[in-house]
Amino acid sequence: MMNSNDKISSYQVGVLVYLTVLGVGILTLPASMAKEVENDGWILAILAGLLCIGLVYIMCKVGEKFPQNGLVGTLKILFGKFFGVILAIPILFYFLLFASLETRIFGETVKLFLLSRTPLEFIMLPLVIVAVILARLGIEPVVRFFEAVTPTILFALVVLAVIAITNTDFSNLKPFFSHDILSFAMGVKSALFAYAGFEVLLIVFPFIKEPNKAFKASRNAILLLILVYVVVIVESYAKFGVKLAQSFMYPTMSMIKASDVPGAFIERIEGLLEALWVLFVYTSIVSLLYSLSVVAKDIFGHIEAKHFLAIFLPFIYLTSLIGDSIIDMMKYGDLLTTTLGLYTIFALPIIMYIVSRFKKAGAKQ
Amino acid sequence: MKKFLAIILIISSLFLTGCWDKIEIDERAFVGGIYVDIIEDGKSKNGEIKPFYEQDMKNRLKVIFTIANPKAIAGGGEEGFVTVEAIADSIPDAIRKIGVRLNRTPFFAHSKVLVMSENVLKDEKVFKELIDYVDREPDLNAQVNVMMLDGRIEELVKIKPKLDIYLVTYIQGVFNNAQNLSYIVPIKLMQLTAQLNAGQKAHIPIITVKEDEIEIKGIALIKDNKLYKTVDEKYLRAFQFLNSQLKGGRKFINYNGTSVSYFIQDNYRDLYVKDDNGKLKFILKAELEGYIENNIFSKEALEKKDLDKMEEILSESFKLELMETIKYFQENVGADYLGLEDYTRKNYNKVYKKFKDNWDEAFKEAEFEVEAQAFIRRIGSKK
Repeated sequence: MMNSNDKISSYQVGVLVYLTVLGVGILTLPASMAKEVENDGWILAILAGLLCIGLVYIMCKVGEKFPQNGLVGTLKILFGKFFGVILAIPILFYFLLFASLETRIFGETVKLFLLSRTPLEFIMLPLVIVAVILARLGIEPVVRFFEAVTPTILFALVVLAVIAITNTDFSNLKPFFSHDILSFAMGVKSALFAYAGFEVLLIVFPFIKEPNKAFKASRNAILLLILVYVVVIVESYAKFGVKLAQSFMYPTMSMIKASDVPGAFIERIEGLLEALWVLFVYTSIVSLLYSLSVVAKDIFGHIEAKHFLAIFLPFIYLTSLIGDSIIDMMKYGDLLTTTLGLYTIFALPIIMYIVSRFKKAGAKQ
Repeated sequence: MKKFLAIILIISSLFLTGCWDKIEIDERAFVGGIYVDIIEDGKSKNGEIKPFYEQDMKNRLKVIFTIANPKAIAGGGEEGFVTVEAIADSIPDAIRKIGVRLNRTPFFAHSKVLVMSENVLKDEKVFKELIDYVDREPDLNAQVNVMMLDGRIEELVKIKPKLDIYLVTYIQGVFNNAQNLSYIVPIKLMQLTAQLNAGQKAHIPIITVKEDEIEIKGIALIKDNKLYKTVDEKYLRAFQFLNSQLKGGRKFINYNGTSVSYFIQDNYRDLYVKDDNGKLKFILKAELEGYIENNIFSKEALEKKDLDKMEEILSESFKLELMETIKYFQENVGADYLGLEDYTRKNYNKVYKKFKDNWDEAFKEAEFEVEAQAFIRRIGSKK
């Protein structure tokens, strides 16, 4: 494997995790968090985030033990050659379908708000193709691109957060903790998937310069995500009230639309979010596609990961068209996260961790 | 060779671009105001599936759009807008009818007002259809001012504003002015849908047309998605205060035979909710801050005891105003539009849970203890 130059620093790991998680989910976040616990949705976001940090810790423990084997390699060591590959196949489908889902939601949203007459395929295909081009180049160019866009994204997030703070009534968040533990537990199950994407850590471990620092970097990334999520949720509840926020298809977009800059010298500020959001989605898809190619390479025992991207390109496009209407598609999305998603980001890391306690450490760098 | 190929590729990309959604700004008709009235009381039955051509639809509504006329606005012409109207079954139907007559595409992203006639609010079905449309349309601005018109919409769009050439900016200006003086409770589309989503109650300001001006006239209360009652404007100040929406404005008192104007600059509300043996009890503490604008000319300077006397009258009169308004809502309206349910739910959740199934009944029976204190902080540029 030609990976002598393919090493990323721990800061880059943080950026990778941050930008992979930040994707289409942020638009529907306030509504999806309110499903079980209504106005306590922001507390749920914190709880789910902390749980994710726990999962990241487990992933890093496993990764530190087998730093050079990669995900499929580790699975093979832990469960034997045959079962290792079997266990890795759902992950392949998970990355494929997750990338498709992001692509489709991107297309639907752009068509609704921006380009109503442009055919859907001309919105989705260029995005996938451009993502494939970047993902083909390998991990280092990917994270370098992520690094380059980070300041823009952070700056725009701050601007949007400030804009959205007009006309808000923070008493809408009261009463705090009005729901029992059971509904919080139910909520965390689905809230966890707002953070889906950090599982790329499983993939990138062989490329990390200092594997023992990976946990700190990704923990900080998730803490930053919790902050962003809580701000988005709190602001949209404060602006709309929980009930109205739940009734929107894309509450975050509606929140920015409903914010007017005092003085009204500029209207329709949501253009900024829409433009920025393309970056969110692009970075997520790139990193999911990259993970997909690495898993596929290891499963099929091929040498070059990038060849698989060209093979999977049509599948990504075709699977992204599953679901006739947007409501249908959302249902399939839920199905994906509660089955393959639960397996990849929750069940598998825990099983791997438990089994790895009984195995000898893998090859060191 | 490679370089050459790359250059060809880059240049060819310039010719391979396309755009489906290009609409030039001069091809758009910027709809500023949407005005809806019911002209025919038609109930369409849901029944068998038919081809259902456009002419099969009922013509229930009269829809008028006021469209900004940029040329006239820039050139300082007489009229900054044009009106187009259609008799239609719904707003999309009206857009269709207007669209085939107009040489531009109606564009709603910069709409500012939505005016509904009284009949629209009285007809639950029409109102619900209308609200769903404006809620669903992704272009429509959530900051649209919603209001009810007591009168005919044709008369409203005929108004030639005096200081403005565009009707919509005129209506907005009146609203802003009146809002600062608490003579109106304006409501944005977003707040209206929030209220309708949270409970079944909402309120909408009422305007009427008087010669060449619009006039503000109280608020319309909405219950179960239709017009429930209208509230006289004399209750507006206390209504806004109880909803903690009071912006400011004047309150007059009779002081030694002079109508002294007290300008409210700040106000505070403290509300305690108790469960008093199965009955709701509210303890309201109100505070006003402001200055006086007029008195009667005298060579003597105003003294502390004069101010104390004025404050006393103010406090007492505001207290009575609050009590009367509360009583009006308890007895005449019979439903809690004062934001008390929301307040109790947020701050006294335990009490709320006891009464939440039958809140309006509990509100009618509730006991109120009101205290008011007005402070005169400034007296103008004369002693």
